Amino acid sequence: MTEDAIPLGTTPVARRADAAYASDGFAVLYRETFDRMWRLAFLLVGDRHVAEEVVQDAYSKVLERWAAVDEPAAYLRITVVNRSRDVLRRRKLVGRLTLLARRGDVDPTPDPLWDALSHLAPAQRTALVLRFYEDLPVRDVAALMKVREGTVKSLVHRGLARLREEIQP
Amino acid sequence: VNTATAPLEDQLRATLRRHAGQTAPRADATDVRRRVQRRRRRRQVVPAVGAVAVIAAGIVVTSVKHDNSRTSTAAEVPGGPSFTPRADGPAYVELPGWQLERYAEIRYPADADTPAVTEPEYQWTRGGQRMQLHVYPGGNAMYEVRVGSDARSDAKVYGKDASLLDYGTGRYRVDVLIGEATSSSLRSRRRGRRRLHRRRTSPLNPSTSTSRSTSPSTSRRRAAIHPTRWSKPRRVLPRGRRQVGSERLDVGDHVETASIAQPRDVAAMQVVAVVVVVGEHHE
Repeated sequence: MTEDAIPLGTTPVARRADAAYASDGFAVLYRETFDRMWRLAFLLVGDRHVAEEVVQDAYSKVLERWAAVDEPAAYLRITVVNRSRDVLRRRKLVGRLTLLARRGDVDPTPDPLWDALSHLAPAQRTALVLRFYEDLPVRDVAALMKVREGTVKSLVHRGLARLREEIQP
Repeated sequence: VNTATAPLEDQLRATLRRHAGQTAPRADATDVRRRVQRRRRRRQVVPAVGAVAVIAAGIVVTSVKHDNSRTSTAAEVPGGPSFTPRADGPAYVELPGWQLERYAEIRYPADADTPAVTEPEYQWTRGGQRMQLHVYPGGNAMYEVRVGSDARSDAKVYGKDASLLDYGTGRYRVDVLIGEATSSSLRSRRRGRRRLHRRRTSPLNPSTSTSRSTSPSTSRRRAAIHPTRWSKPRRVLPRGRRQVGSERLDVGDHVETASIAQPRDVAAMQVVAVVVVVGEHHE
């Protein structure tokens, strides 16, 4: 899955501004990957605001370690996934806050599969999103989640089974 | 994708893509730079007020009169945290000028990933205003999680960066990271002996820094960063109150004068929840 770069400005002023902006590697990374990272985080945590916070936090970490990171994009994705998993794990602790925050900004269309996804264990949800949204092979999912490939297969299998149970009428 | 007949994998792909198709929020790299700067500032601020919050957590014991009204800003979730107002339990924080209306312990049961956590919660009233104080363990990380859970705006409390949540009905919540606690704060009484040693290392009373777990250099450093805004130990307690430690957290002055960025008006708030996030400082 690739992300198209945002076209540079067309006016001289915009071009100069964009050139200055593009000289900053972090700004370029941010501009070109934010949407994708936000969507990934949203699918993992299921909440727009939390997803934005997760992604911003991940970018903060990347920025703080910018000089030491060889592949910022890869580091960013790992950070987003890990941070999302942290949030999912702590959801019981902050559930009462996130419930209050959930107003009408979530897709109102009934979607049993989406609802069922929120009932999965954090690791299962993460594995399913990485496998079926990011279309990553099992090996890459295992590397991202720092588990063995067999564990990923198990998580996916059990996650799908749970979803199947949940959406069955 | 025909949701009735397609394999579950395809249905899931379609569902994920549909939900991911939402418009992403507008964002700019400068937000991240600002956040990093804020985080660095917090790292500098936190040690400067270090060990203050531990005072809130473990020192003053007060007999509490309360009712069982549950007017907390928190929602109660089936199977989630349970509120346990305590009739005779300790209230660790006094708020001069305010009447303590409720003290509760919020217990979050353990699950596979996180241990059980108990969080104290206080509620005071004064002239139609209501003030809540929550003390959360977890430090920076938990603070980030909490303020990241809602749509928030920046505010200033105690002259520090804080996070303001507007519930939209004249109710607000302010989260501010006050400081770190020594590692034994907020823990069970089983570790009371250890806590006693730690307590002696409080910057409010550096002369008693005889803890075996704290080096002299640490004690001196803490004494040097003693935050003057916090009160000295209270020597005479009103009837009905007993003191088990020598330090007391007095947040009243700061809460009353808390300034929030315009156009917020603290006096007009019906509910203000000040969240004190207590981290764990391991020595």
